[in-house]
Amino acid sequence: MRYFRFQLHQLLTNRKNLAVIGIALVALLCQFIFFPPNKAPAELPTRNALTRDRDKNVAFVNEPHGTLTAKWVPATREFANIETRMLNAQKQQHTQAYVKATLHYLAFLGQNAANPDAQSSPFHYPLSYYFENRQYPDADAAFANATMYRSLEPLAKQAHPDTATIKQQTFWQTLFRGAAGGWLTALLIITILFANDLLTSEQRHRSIARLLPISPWHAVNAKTFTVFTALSGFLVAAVAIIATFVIPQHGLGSLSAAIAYYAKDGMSIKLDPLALGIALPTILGLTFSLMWLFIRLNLLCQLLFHNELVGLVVSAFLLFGEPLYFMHGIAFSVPQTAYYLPGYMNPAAIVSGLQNFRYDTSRMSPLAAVVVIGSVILMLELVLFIVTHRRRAAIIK
Amino acid sequence: MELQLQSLALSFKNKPHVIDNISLTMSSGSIVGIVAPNGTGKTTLLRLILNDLKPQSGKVVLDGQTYGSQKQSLAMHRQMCLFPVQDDLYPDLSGKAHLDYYARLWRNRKKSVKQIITALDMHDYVNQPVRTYSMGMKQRLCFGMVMAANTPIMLLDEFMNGLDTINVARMSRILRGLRAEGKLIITVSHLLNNLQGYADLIYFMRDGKIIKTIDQHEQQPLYIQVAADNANRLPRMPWQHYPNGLLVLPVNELPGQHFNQLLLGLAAHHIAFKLAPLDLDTYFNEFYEAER
Repeated sequence: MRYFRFQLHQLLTNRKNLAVIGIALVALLCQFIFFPPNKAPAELPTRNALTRDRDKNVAFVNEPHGTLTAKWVPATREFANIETRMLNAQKQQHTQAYVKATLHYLAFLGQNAANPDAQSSPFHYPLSYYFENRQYPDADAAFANATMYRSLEPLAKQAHPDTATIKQQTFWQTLFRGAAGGWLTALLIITILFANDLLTSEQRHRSIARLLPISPWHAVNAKTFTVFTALSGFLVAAVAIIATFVIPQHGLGSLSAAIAYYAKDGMSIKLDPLALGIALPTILGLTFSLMWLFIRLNLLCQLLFHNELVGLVVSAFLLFGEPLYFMHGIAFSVPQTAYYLPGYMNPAAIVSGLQNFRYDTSRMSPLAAVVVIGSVILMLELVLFIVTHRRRAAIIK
Repeated sequence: MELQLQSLALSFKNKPHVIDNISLTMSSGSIVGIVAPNGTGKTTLLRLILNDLKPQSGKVVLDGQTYGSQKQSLAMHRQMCLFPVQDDLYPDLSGKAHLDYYARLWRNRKKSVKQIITALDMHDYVNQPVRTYSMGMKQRLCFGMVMAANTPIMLLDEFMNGLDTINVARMSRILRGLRAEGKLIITVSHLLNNLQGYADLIYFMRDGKIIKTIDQHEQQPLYIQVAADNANRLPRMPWQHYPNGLLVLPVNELPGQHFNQLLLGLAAHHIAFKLAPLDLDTYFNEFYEAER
């Protein structure tokens, strides 16, 4: 406990670590001020966009047509009716009707947008997918469309579904969307930066650190828990900031609100609803596992190589190295890639099934993540144990 | 408690025989001084004692235990504490935090940190961050840390550096107190006259070996010591010329009447002399100055 408290104090007064935390918290604040992570999803058009599109479709229906475009008139009329129902429900604040109309809207787009037979189709997914430099914007938009449909289905059965829940803006939903959007990657980067010099920084205090009456195993474990403790505090602060921005405006939300979990069963696609009350703790558990993995990996690299660089490079390879072996669309030619560790670096993508979608598989489930991450952790623990129990083992050279 | 160094030997690539077959036995309740010029292996010897360096042959034995398994090494480290290097202190931590850290790690429950602060007169600055300390303040803090660990064996490497005469006297007094508590204190110091005042055993090292041992509890031979300037006024006798400008004559080589005559003669001619054992400065000059 004495050693742990001292090391925690050192970690929290380290200028590099304070800078990392400061930058992260400021970035989070700026994100909420300038780029709110919980703005309404692109799949739910705003009233203005919907009105413009409806009016455009009505004008299309009413204008004279040649043989090429006449075939689209019935579908366009139907689409315009759906959009009118959405607008009327919004105007009357009849949220159940709005949800039902939106489900029709999403189903219509799912059937008609990006139709390979429709060279002049007037229907399209949200345009933002085509401007974001995606490899397969149609597939990504179709996935988002289908998962949005699945997450709205339970709300259609409620008499008065909450607007913030429909637009996925509640606190719990914001946590999920933020997790899927890059917050977890940022947290893992912070973890790596914290852990990267846990041992090498002791070189500056050699005559004190090398001859303390504690075993290297004890020292390594104590340092691991200091990082965990510090980052838990950071997580609490971050969640408090998120809550401050979201709850007053959009409410806490319900943990029974659903996301969709994607999996491929043979040739058919399964999209099962998954409650946030299950999804969020699973994401948190997987995140903690990855944090543990990166801390132990960096400690091991410092024990073996006595510098920060090796741990940094290996961690960066794991965190960002997926594109080195994976390309959306051809992953299934090498199915073993579904079990490579870099594919499990975003727990939210695992829990929502996005990785299953990208790899065209059902193998990348949360259970698979536990097995893959757990196996690597076990290997790391074994090597750490061996290295720290050698006769002349020491935490620094 | 008995610490034995058994035939310790260590060479480096660019420096062979830094430690060459050194065997020593040291017991609790004593202060042992190690004397040698800079860069000749004193700190290396301390590091061997702590197992910070592995000897090529020989071993360190503490009450029958050696540095075998990691568990044994830890058990031995709990009995020893090294005077930390000043530059290794944590600059943003206070002196008190350093003392508490050492006290807690070595589970010292007998000596309070407050007592140590009082003994070393650190009240004025002990709560300030270490980066604000002068060299002398850091030295006192490092010494305080070893006291806070309160281990049976204390290894003090040049711990009087940068201290004024008041603090040298204070630390010397504390050392005598620690010896009375039964500590074994192994010290390296260049303040040789001061070392002579409190050490029980003094070892001179050269070429990796112990070349002279002085047991301060044994009667030391007396010498008549005269400044070399007076050489042409001295009677013909087997005076030994020392590099520090002294002419020295061992008293035990003089027959009784010659001794009396010599003293009277020196006094009659107003030649200043000293009748005492050789001090450590003189030995140091004898062993190391001649090499240069």
